Amino acid sequence: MGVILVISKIAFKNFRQHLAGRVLYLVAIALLVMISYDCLTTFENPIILKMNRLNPILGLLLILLVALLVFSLLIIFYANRFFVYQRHSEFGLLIVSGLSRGQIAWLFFLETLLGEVLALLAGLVLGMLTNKLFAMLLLRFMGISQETNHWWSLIGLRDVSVAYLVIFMIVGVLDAIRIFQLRPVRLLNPEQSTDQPMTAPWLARLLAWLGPLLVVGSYLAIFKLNWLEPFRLADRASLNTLLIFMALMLGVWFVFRNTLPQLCAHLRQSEWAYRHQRILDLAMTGSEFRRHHQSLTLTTVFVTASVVLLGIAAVSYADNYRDLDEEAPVDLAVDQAYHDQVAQEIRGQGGQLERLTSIQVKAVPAQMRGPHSREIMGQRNMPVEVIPSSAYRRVQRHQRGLPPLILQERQALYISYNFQYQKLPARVLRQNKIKFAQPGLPQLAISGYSRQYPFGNSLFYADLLVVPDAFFEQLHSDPPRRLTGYRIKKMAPDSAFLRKIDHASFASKNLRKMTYHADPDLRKSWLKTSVTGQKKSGDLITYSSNSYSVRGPFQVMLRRVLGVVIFVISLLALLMTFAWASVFSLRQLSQVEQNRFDYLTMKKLGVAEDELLRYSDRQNRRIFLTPVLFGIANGLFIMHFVGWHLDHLPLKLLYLLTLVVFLVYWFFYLFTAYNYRRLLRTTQISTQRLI
Amino acid sequence: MRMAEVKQVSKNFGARQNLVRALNNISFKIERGEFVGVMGPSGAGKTTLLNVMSTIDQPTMGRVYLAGQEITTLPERDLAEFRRNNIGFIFQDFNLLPALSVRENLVMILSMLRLPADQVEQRLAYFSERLNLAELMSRYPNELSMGQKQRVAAARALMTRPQIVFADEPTGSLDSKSATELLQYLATINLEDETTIMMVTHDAFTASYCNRIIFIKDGALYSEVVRSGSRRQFFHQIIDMQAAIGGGNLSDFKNRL
Repeated sequence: MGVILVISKIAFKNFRQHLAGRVLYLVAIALLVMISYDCLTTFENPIILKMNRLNPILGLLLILLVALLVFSLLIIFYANRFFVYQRHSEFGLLIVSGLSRGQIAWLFFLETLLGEVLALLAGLVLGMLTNKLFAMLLLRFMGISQETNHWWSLIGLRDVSVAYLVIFMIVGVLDAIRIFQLRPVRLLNPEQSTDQPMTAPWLARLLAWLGPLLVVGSYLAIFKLNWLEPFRLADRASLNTLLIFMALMLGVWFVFRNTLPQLCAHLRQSEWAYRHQRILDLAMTGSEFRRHHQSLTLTTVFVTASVVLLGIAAVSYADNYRDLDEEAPVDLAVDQAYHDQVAQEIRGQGGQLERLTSIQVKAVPAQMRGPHSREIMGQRNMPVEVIPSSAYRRVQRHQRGLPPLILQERQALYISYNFQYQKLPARVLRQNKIKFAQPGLPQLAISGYSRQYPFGNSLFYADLLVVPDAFFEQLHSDPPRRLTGYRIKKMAPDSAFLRKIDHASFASKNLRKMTYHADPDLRKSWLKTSVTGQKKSGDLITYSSNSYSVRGPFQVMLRRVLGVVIFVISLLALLMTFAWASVFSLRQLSQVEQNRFDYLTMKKLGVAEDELLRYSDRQNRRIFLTPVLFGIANGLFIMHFVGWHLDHLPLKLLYLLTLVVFLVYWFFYLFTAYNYRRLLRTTQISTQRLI
Repeated sequence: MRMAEVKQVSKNFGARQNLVRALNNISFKIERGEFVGVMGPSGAGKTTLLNVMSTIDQPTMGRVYLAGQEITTLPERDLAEFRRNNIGFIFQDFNLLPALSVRENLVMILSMLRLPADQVEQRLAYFSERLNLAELMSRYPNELSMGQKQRVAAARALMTRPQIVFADEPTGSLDSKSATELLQYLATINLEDETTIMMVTHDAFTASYCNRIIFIKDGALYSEVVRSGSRRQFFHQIIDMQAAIGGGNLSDFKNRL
């Protein structure tokens, strides 16, 4: 009992001594606990529980929770590895002083547990404080603007505490196994355990070349894959993907283990290194790369994973989310031909309709003239639908996200969903003019491009022009269409009835068809619209559009699921970035103990302190930022490649999020460099190495 | 020509009740080309004296002159340059940089002195021959024996052609054969190149390679022995003086000759 008390006291003192250096790591664990609690509490949130088709949403949150717990286990295990490494000489002394390995393992477990429990408690408190924010953000991402006051969950507190305590125990057992395997002779004579240089130079050279070859080869192999195929393990392409990914990781591993150290060795033997006094810092950087190639590879993997996850979230937000919004931006939009029928059905089910506005649409043959016009039209000329600018502005009041309209007298806004797939910049489009088949009309310059249609893209055949009112009046179209937008009240957006209407709007009999004859001479081109089907023949091209569109359960569900996916993925990626950066920083700081005596030797040999600190900064920067930049390059490459296969996905948001990832790592680099300097400065020149 | 002068130097550690006076108003001089040993019982202040003289530590009081320059008033940046240009160090635990090969350990500090490459090669060839290092140039410190490490450390100290070499228990980690080899190298370099050497040791056999031994006790100068006859006679003088201070016996010499 007495020994346990003494060990507990020592553990508490050790915990206090190391607290300052580990604060960011503990903050990272607290954040993981916080999100885990927030996640579990959401399972009891009344707003979420009220929803129909709940399974995908809760399933995604469950995936997030499991991913957080697995990630927590990984980083705590990995961080404790450094802590054990940092304390090797101390453990050696304790062993020769007569402490059993069991007692040392217990001492280490207690002192790490103190920090972990502190992080757990802080995380739970933070979880309760941020739970409302978490739920509000989640709801906002799901497209629900409702207030929630749910923040307390006893089950959440219990489950998160139990889960993390189990993690601490598992890591404690793994640490104990490691401590039991330590050999006192190596602990007390660290020089005996230093890495031996590669014995066969030819093998070192071979592996140094193998790394970049595998990386480049994997990049090239990725281009051979068909990414649009579904991912199945039995599928050969999927198996190849796994093999390529493994080859890429092996390549990264060899780059850190062999290529970069060899490169540093090659450089430091050069005249340049001698003249620029880079011999020492290249040697130390090279040996750091070699010694820590595992953690550097893992950092590259985690940065790549973060960028790819953020890329998926950004693309989902920028593209899929927008697709949904563009498809059904208002509750109901209906053509005059179906107006009465649909309105009657909704009212019959107890729903109320609030009319928003109506717009008149004319369809006419037209031609684009200017650079790449044929490519844009896809034929000699094309049918366009036209609405007046006043109608566009009326819709703008009710349809959020419709871009502002600035039109001069002879200008038109070009709205097209398909233009984005033509891989042409919008400025090329703006260099074109629109000529109409109807004689006597002036050509219109294209003032801007948008992919957002008033009332949604499913109600239009193809491209739409917004023109000045006076011009619209001059257009002859037979017969013009009238579309009306409504807000639906007293009816749940995910109700079964709206789902039925939504399904019916895609039935062939309810589609609106248009036949277009694209004659080489624009004036001879003609179009004919009707609500009944017409058989396709000869040079005739048929177009179809919905006659009415409802923001039905499908969109609502899709939007909610998409919102949760984006929320879960981005949260996971950002947490992963923060937590791994904190572990990487710890690893780097655990290196100071080894390097400080080399710096001391340098100082005795006559190297000035500021020069030494510059060396350490340079070394830290290389070690810290190489895997980060490598990972970012990997991630962006993968996202560009996927984007290239999936019709040039918008990646601007990804660049912004990648910058956030870089800044998080940069912040941790600054923290590490500052503490590294501080620890080096505390090494007095008169201190002797005590081995 | 005077190489080093210590004037009324005192060095205290701690304060008030915990005050330890490691050096107590000590003064002496070292002439150019001398091979001076500093001896004394444990805790006498040998290493503190070496640290203060070699710019590693600052005295609490007094002045230290090296190569005609007062070093006790120099700022840290100038001290670093002074060390680089004028001082060579040999430590008991070698202090080689493990990430560098033997060649790089020797060349690294010369790159800071911006010595032309042809001169570097000349010096490398000279010291590798003198200290028998030619075979070791591409090896790393962890591939060397203790004796080889100390020879590399000695070569590194001498590569910059320092005015004075400070050696702190240089044979402390070596077996008797390696220790004898190293001491012979140092004695030869001292004799042929007129390199001034100040060596701290507690071992009478090691000290017998010096020309003069300064004995200190309780931080103050106790006595001085100057070599006049053979090394054996000098060794006896040292043993006698050690006996007077406390410690050391004749069997040390008999067993190792």
